[in-house]
Amino acid sequence: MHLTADAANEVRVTLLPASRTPAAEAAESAARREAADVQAAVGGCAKAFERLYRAHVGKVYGLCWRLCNGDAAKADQAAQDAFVRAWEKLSSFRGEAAFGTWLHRLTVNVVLGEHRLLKRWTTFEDAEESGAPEPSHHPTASLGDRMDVERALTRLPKGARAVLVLHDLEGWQHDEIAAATGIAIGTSKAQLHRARKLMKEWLT
Amino acid sequence: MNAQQQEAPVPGLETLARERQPHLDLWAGIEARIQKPVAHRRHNSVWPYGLAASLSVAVLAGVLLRDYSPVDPQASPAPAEIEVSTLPTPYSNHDGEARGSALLSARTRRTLRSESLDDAPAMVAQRADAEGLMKATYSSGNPAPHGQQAILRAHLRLVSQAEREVRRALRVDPESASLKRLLDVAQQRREQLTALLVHEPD
Repeated sequence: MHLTADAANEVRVTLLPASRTPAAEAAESAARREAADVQAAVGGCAKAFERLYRAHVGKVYGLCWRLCNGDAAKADQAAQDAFVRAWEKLSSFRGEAAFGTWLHRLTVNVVLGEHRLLKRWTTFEDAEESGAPEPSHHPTASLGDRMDVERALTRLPKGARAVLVLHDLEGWQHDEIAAATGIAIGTSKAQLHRARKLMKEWLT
Repeated sequence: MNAQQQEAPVPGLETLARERQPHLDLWAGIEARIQKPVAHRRHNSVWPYGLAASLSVAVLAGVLLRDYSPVDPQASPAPAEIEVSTLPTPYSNHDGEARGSALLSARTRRTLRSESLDDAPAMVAQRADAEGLMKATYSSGNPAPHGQQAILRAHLRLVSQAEREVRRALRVDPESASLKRLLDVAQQRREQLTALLVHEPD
């Protein structure tokens, strides 16, 4: 059976309410519960905030762990700091973005610290400071010595790693990285380029 | 490796898990740390009103002080006057008029110190005139002297603003006795100033 474009659209529109999947309904319900928890937490309800913590700790901790170079102790501290800061700043959450997005942004600010500090991190000299080996330093590295992706990530200079994690893992755009960290968009692009180049050299 | 290859995402990076669970439950530590901020946050929500109330007190005090000071267009306030006005004065025996009297006597003392003693009788007469003006204006409800309307309107605006701030603060803390007292004072002052302006239409 062939339908014209208009007829097909009509059928689609007619079926739209019935086409909501259980997954979509569950997601909507979860979003409503989360919004209620956020409201309650703004009012000072620690139990509601604990539910928000349980729902988001995995992603927040994962982000902290990567930005802290895989250091579990630092990541623990950073994740705790991020949730405490979130509790303190909850009243400033306007609900314009998803709570998770807001929490992620706040976590990045907590982990990377003051913008000035980050600017220092993202200079091109930090690779030498951190002692990360240049690809050319390992021309004879055997296959067994090559790092896997996770290990390679931890060996990146701080600034390059931060930009790579935010851009390629968290899906941020350069302008968002620049706004959140205080570095220039061009610096963010340059750091991403550098990070990818280093990673690919180490992994091949 | 060419430029295009370098711009592509690192192979395998997308397979890394974004989520990772901490080895220990961090909630206990977080809960312990957010106990204080609860109280702190409550203060945060009230502090603008507290500040507004304090500002209102300051404004009212300023209005009252200005109301009871004699209006003398010739005498412009000087920093030295403020300094001298804090000195103890023999004229201030009771609270209400004491502030005006203290300011006046401080002016007198400053003038007596800095000018010739021959001016002393004139200063005493000026003080008596000013006290008479004060009583005529605020005690007996007589019309404000001509030319004071602008000052009265400015005072009225200040008092009305203060009253609004106090009302706002009372919405947050309805049981506060000090705020209620402050509101009474603000209302009285507003009514008094309004009556004075009614007597002296444009």
